[in-house]
Amino acid sequence: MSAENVRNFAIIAHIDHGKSTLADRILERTGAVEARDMRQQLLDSMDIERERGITIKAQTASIKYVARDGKTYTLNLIDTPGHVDFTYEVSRSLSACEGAILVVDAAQGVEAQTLANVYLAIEADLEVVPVINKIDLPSANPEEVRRQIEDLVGLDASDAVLCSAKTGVGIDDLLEAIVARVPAPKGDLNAPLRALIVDSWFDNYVGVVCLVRVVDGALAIGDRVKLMAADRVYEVNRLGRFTPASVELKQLVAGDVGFVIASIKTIRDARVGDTMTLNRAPALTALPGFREVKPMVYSGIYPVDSTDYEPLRDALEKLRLNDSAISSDPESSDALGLGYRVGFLGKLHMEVVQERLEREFNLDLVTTAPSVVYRVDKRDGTQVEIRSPSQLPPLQEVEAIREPYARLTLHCPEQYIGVLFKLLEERRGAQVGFEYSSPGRVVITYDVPYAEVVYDFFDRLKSVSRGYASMDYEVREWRVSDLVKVDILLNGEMVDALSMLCHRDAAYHRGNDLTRRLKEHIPRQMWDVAIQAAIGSRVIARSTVKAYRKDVTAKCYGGDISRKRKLLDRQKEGKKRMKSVGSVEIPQEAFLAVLRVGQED
Amino acid sequence: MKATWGVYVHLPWCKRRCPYCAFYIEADHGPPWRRFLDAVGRDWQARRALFPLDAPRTVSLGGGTPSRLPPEHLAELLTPLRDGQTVECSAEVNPEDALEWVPAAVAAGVDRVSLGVQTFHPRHARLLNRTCSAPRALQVARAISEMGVRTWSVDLMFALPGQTIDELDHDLDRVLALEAPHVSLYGLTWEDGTPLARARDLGRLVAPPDDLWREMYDRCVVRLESAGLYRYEVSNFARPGHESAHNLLYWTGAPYLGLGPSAHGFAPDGGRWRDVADVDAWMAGAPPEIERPDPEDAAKDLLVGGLRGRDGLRAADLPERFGFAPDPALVRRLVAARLLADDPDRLRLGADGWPVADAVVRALAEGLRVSARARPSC
Repeated sequence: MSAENVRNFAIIAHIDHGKSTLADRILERTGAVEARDMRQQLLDSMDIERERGITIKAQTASIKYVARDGKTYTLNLIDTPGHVDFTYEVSRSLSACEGAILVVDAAQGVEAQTLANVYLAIEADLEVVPVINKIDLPSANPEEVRRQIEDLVGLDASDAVLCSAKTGVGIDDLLEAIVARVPAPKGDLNAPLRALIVDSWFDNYVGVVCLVRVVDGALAIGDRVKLMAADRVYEVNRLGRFTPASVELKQLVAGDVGFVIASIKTIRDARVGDTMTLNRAPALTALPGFREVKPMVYSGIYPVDSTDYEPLRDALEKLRLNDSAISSDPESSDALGLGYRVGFLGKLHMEVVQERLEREFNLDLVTTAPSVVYRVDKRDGTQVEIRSPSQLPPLQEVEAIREPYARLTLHCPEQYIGVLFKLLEERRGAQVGFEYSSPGRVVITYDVPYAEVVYDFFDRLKSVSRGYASMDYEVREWRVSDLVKVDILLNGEMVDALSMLCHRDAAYHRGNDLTRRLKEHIPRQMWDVAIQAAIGSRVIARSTVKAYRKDVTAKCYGGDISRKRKLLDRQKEGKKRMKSVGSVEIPQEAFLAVLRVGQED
Repeated sequence: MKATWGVYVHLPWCKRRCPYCAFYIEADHGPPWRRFLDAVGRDWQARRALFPLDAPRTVSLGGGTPSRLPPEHLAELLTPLRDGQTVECSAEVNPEDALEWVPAAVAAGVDRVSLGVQTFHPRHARLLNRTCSAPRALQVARAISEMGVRTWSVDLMFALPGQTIDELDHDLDRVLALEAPHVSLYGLTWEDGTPLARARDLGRLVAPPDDLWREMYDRCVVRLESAGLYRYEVSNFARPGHESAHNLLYWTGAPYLGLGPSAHGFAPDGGRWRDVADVDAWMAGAPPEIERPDPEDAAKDLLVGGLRGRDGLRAADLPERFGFAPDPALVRRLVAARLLADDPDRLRLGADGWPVADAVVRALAEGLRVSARARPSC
């Protein structure tokens, strides 16, 4: 089939606006999947994605569609992840497409998360087809949503497709709109091969599977291909496309989206955004946009039960097979024992990884508060990177501590400028730019310490702007800051996992805040628990959790003994996520209390 | 070792259910006593062989309300269970039934009774469905001392909803005026599923805060001990020689043979059973639920019961009998906090351990580890 009859497109939608249902409906309508075989929300295959409603790994499907003009088209649906931590992956997915469907809920209207991805699509020069979904809802208001798409997004919505993925109404119109409005791919079949790696993952049976978009040239079984950024050569064993079931082919040509299996052992050699070319006739230049993805946030992950250390190591290794953005190094904490310092793209990525470790590998974990990467200038002229407050060298060796600054780009309707400025100032931000992108919409640029961004900034941003502000960020530089390390002592013993680095001006306030929060999270125990915050040997804040006053059952006779023993076992189960430090039992939430320091309750 | 064991009989019938009670009981509409006694005899015959040849050291009648049992049946019930080696035969008695019932019980061999007074305060008594007035209780108490019982006890409750320290003091005054040689002192327990717990969940009643509970408990201990009643278990106080021999069996990990619906038993071989909590099914011969705790659970059971008593348990019993021992570092910390007594031979509660005994048990049970000194039990 010639590239003229190919349409590559992505779906952009806010969580819950029906992206997965719409994808299912398209697959069902084009016969790619029998209705009776449909799993609900076919494209979100991992359990966690299903529950959290976030697509983490991009997936894809190539489907045949006979259009009203009588011709058969190949529609390549390329799935995209949907959160700010995965902006890079989204941008690669989008750059494999010529068009995107923007799905907006007919009742909820345009929401912020969508906007960031729409802007990525517009920047990538994609044709964006607005779709107003859920028109079957009683509260649907398509005309209002149409107006919002024009005002908030700046797209012409006069010919937006109205549909209901639930009932199937309008799905044919949507497929016709894709055929009519998304341009055919423009690649040159005769040029040297250039194929963009849109996604890659590890399969236990075949090794690394690459999902590629062939931009120029053609690729066949037996070809020796070179990965241009990784600078390695592999022989292609198998290739094909997902319908979404995998169908093996002899070759993929310009315009196609499909998978390539080439005995690649690790996904670190098949990174998203890399370009695949032929070894014997290589392209001169790689496709633009490749970026090495580096972890920006680090957190300690410790097994609650120290015998789970090796299972944790194995689990992290398995996850790394499929997620090149995770890094992990062994770490030991006086308080928590042996564990790992694990690097993530951002806080959401961290939560997803932690949840997968607990759920898929059945581990009970304590996760410490995330830390950004600081750089320490030492008096001897060297510089070290530290990934947790406890790695800070002795103060007498420290010349200066540098913290990473991110440049934030925020899009929002102008009525939210005030609350946004306030939030950014609270986070030690400095304004860099401000302009109107269209009447009523602004783009604000700010430099903000990255530590102030990673924890909860995105959530706060959504809440103060009622979801209408969108954000992208890039860490650009490390600046000298007046930072101090605040330690926490419980009954006199320092709990290294609770230490925090913060700006000197905020240290007293935060020390107070943290001891207060710890007091809320540490349950009463058999003895008083003294909580102290200290800078060096100087205590700056304290509070006390008083011992139990009452913990005894009145009666214990014949039948009560085994009943009480069973109760002990249940109580022990309930304490699984507690970690003992010296004489004090600390629940998992306490380790995360550091995160909420400095915020309102 | 002299074989020591006890017998417990659960007589489930009550005139009415008390709103705090979570025991298995039945409303008394003329109980089928004949069939009940036959079933007691049946299970006694079947279970007797599990226990040592020596007669039981103690027999205890509980419920329910044992004093609902017509006096003419008492001898039939008790005679097979006890003999000259039996040092205690006790029964729980409703104060309203006492004047009539106790003399017959004494004649049948009962030598210890406990009176379920609970409180003398009219408002709290109404809430608990108790109707024994102070003068009536005094009258019963005086009478009991002259009815030939060897010893007797009074049940008192504290930490009642809305109760003040003054009200508790009045109750204590009256209890002490009875000159009972034994007092069982129970903080009100809000058992799930009871009318009392439901009223609390609906916001109609409020349980006292832990700090008030503690103040009340400490006050009771001081007042009872200064009256010569020493604390020999978390909730039990006695003049020397007047301790409940039967209950001490529970707190020392001794075996006991349970009879009657919902009764628990603990055989010398370590097996535990519980009869069905349904008198008709039980009389018809429904089998008990049986459990065989593994050595770790058996060690926990010993901790659960054993730590409550003043003498605690022999430290070496855990490794010798079950192959487990508590974490020595934890024991040191508990001793330092005065939650355990500084006694190398025995694990027993320290001065501050009583009101938080469950927490101490929990900590020790969680800190149990396989012991190097493990020896098979003999």
